[in-house]
Amino acid sequence: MSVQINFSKRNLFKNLTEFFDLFSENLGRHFVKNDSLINPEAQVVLKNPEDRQIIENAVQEMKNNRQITRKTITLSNNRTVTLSIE
Amino acid sequence: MEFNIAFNTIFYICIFIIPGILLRRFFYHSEFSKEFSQGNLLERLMWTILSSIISLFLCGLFFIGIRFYADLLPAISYTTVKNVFDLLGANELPEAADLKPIYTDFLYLIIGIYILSCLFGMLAHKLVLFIGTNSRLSFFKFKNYWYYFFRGKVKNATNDRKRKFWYTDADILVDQEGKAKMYSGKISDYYIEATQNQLESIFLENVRRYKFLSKDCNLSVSDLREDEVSEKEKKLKNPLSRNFELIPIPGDVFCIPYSRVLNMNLTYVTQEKGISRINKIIWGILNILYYAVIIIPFTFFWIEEIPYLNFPAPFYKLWFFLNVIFTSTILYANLETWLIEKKEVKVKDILFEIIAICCFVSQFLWILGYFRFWPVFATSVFVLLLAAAGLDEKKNNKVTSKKDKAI
Repeated sequence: MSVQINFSKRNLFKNLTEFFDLFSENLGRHFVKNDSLINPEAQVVLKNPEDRQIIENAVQEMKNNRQITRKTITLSNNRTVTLSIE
Repeated sequence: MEFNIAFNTIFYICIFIIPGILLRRFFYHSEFSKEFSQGNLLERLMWTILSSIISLFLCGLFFIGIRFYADLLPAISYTTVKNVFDLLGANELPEAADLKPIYTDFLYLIIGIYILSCLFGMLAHKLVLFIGTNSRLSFFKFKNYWYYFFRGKVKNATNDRKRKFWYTDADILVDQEGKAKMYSGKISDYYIEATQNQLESIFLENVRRYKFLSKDCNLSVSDLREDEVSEKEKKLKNPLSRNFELIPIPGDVFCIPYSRVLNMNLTYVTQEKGISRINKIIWGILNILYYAVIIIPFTFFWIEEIPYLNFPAPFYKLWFFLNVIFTSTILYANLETWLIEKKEVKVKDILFEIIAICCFVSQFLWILGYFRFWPVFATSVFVLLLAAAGLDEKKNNKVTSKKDKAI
């Protein structure tokens, strides 16, 4: 296990912000409704224009040909996702 | 204008109205917040009083539940509550000597009722969403039906638990000065009007405009160059091709007023979860444990003597509660990453969180009276800040924030 130690203000704020996010997201979601209109995971993927294009093409293909009920796509980070539409 | 209000009226409002208002406020939150103020005044007052009665009944059950494993605060007894009510019923203030030993406990009781009313409201909100979505009973549904339509929680949509909702793709036909235009995009937000729950406006992301091509190429593309014509002809001759093009519209959010909408077609895009049954069961058990770990220290505020724990002041109870929440939340987040998101959790990636857990756990040393407050607290804060400043965020690319989580 190798851990890089590098003291900086940037690290301090980054780590503390992430730590705060951890609490606000994990604790907050038990009390506040978290079923957003765009799933947070999907939002992360859709931020990447390349992945967004892949997803949109897959969805359009499924919309145009209703015989295709599901479609497996490979995202830019080499992860495969199986999408389906209703 | 002279306006007299008796002291006991204020007290009755605090006991019989405010819990109901809080319960209803938290029941109708977020997208349903406009339902809170719908209906006439009498109707709302009746619902508020009924909600208060339900809230007080549930609070009663909560305090009775605590009595199974510990003694409640002395003021939280039938005799004390009755005496206070009798005095206030006669529009008199209690004697200072009678009030002094119980007022802090009584204050705890009132604050407890208010906090619990909020929690019951949120719980009821979640329950109604769950039952309304899964049972198809219209009785358990909010009036804002757009919530269900925009999330695929409708009768026609398959209720497959193996799939996870991603987003709703909307094709919206809009009237623009007599001409119909169609837009496609992901629904990112919407607003409803205050009284009738009618849609006011829809907000779309990644919007594209439909540009329809005529089936007769000669008519639609007569003015185009030769290469453009051949490209269009190719598209039209291909059986899988469409007779339209999607033109991207630059910008972040596209707003469509509902008054202009002629029609809309919604497509629910879902993703397969791929979580094993065993992981689901383990995750369910862990969730129950997480809630139990949070709820049990929460009850300490209304307990006089806690078995095996000795808190010199209420401040210690608060710190104990916060430390339990912080520690269990860090563990919960990392277990979720490992079990549900199926990501490998490496020690070096969560090193800062491990150090943070150690800092939070060390607080129990002064809370439980083993060490003095300042040495423990100051050391923990110093270590936490040192770790935050020293651990390189590039190396320790951790999984804490949902914003940074890739699927």
